[in-house]
Amino acid sequence: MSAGIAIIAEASPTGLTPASVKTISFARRLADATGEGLRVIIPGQRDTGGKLDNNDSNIFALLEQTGGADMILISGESLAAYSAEAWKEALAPLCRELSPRFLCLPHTSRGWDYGPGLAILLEAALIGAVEGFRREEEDGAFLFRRSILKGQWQQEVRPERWPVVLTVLPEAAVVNGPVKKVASWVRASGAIPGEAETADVVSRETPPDDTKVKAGAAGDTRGETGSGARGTNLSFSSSRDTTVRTPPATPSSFAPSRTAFYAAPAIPDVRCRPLGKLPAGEAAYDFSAAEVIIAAGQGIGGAENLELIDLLAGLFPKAAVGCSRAVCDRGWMEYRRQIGLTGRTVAPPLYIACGISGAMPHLAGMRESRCIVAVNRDENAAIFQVAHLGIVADLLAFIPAVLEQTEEEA
Amino acid sequence: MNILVCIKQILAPEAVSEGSGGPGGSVWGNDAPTAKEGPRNFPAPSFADYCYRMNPYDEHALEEALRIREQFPEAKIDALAVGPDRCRRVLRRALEMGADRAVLLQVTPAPIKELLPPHDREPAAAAGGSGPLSSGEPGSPHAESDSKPTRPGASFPPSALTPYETAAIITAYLRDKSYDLILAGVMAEDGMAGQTGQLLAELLGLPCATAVISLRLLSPHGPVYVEREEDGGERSAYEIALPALLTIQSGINRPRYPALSHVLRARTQEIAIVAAAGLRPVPRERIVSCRRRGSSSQCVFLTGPLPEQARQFLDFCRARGFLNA
Repeated sequence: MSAGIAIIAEASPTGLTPASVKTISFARRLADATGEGLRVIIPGQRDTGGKLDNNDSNIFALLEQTGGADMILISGESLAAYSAEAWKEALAPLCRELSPRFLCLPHTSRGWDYGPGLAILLEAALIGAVEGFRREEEDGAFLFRRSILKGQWQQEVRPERWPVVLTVLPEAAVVNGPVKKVASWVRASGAIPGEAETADVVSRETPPDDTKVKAGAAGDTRGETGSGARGTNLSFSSSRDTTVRTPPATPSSFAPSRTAFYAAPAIPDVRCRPLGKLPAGEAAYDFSAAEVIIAAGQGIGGAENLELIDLLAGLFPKAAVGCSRAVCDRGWMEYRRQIGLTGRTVAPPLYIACGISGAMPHLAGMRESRCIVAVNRDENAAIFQVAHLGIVADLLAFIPAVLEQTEEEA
Repeated sequence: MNILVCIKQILAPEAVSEGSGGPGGSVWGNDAPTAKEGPRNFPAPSFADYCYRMNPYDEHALEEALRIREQFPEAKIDALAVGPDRCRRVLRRALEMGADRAVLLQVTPAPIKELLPPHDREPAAAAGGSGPLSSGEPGSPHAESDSKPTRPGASFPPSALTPYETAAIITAYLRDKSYDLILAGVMAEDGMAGQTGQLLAELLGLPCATAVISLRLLSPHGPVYVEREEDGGERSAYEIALPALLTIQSGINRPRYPALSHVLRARTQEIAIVAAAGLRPVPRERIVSCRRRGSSSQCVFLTGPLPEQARQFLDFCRARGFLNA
């Protein structure tokens, strides 16, 4: 019987990756809708002998501040370097054990890589690049929203079985308005709309058994009070070679969420051997000093027209020129200037998107820019969804018109 | 060495963004009259060619397979597609590019209206064929041909196949076959799921790497050395034992144009058709609606003649201190 919501988060050197934090925020919105508890699984290499290290404590504090959740640390040799094979093999038995209804992964180059395989191992439904959800009015079914066709259309997908594996985009964390900055999100512990009231909700589906835990913290998000759950061991039994260790005494400043440790089983037959990260071939272009970033997309039509982008950039005192992946793939610009999921992430005061359709991977790299101007021939282009100022025009006509205008003014 | 390349026929984004059914009308369920295949009847480019094409990421996958065959000339390349009859078009293209054989797993899914919840079964939505996600059964001509869909609320029928269904159909077909290497595009440009490859690998029990941006094979028996692209453009390297499945990221190569000799040869090649309706699994998730996004609430569009728009744009930048006064 599946119950509860689990998140598989990715650790960063200082805590959790921003994408993971946003996935947890999305999961909380699901929890608000179902009244189920959250469990955050963090795969990692380190074996701290059943103690929380500094980083774990940071993560734990973060979970407490944002409403409480159980933290499950899974570690093992096989998780030293990322490979989909190792993560799937390590996570599948744990997920069977936890048996959540919803399994949320950040839609990153990892989550998206191992998520589908994990879904097959769990015989789960799978919905990728989730941007939000709603419930069907008639039967309360969950419908998950995602973009198709370069973001111009959206589809709603309904899981037909439990559990469902969701890979979650950062924008799914947002209730209304633009994506919040992670930093302010974390600081505003109790201030997340609709999340302060979620405490002490017991699952409506099944009463939690001994190994299941009630939804996170009590109303006091600072975590000084606790329900009786504090200090209880989360124990897992598994037919696999799994060691269960005693969790450390929870520091009293933490709320009643609990931690558990889980040893990843060794993989007997490794078929995908990680050889490590590669040194960056060409130094990434440094966009950090730019106040204005002019980005060229496929709509520029050809390398010969890039001069127009440079001329436009020349109007601004502190401008830099970037591009979308499509431009790099065509060899019109170098990859080090690519902005998007697989390139740089930028957030300048002004971003001018020239001939960029605005598919999800590009938006991921620039949507936090303070002000976005988009120029595109297609009024339906998804880039206008995030833009503040829209110009429906051909670049090859618009940029010359702008240049002409400045000359007249001069 | 046997290589399989999975190819999807997608609805061209331009065809969708230009609204409606376009000049020919029924975009979504189209089995265009020019789709007749055969050595003597070489199809002329048509509106359907404009509407449907090979997923560009799959072109990169096929190109990579062709390069492996140049390295190991005994290698055989099979191209495979799942979908209705119109998908023969992309398989023909794969043969022209140089694939040795092509097979279409032909699906005849349930009429689209049965896939929609009752309240969505409006006449306009129910009349079309397959969704833009390519795999549906051609239905009656689309009802939108006479009324351009307006942006908010416009809807068209959802795809008939999810990535899981596609992967399960291919898995069933491959049960008694053996390939050393299976290549697919990193995602389909229309559905943007990027899941079918990984699902197929897991169902077949194969190791898998996604977003492969570099691939090296020292022997036809493997292992294969790959670099995969990660967030922020970082790369990690892996050594993978064969048989394996790789999904290919754009930028790994530049797909070739078919040589004339290959185009001529492709005219004589048969495309194997396998009825795949019986291979469809019980779906694990269902696409229940598909809508064009509403217009953005925050975006202010400039209007007027171009010089006027240019002036407004400069004023906008100046008012925010980005331009010197």
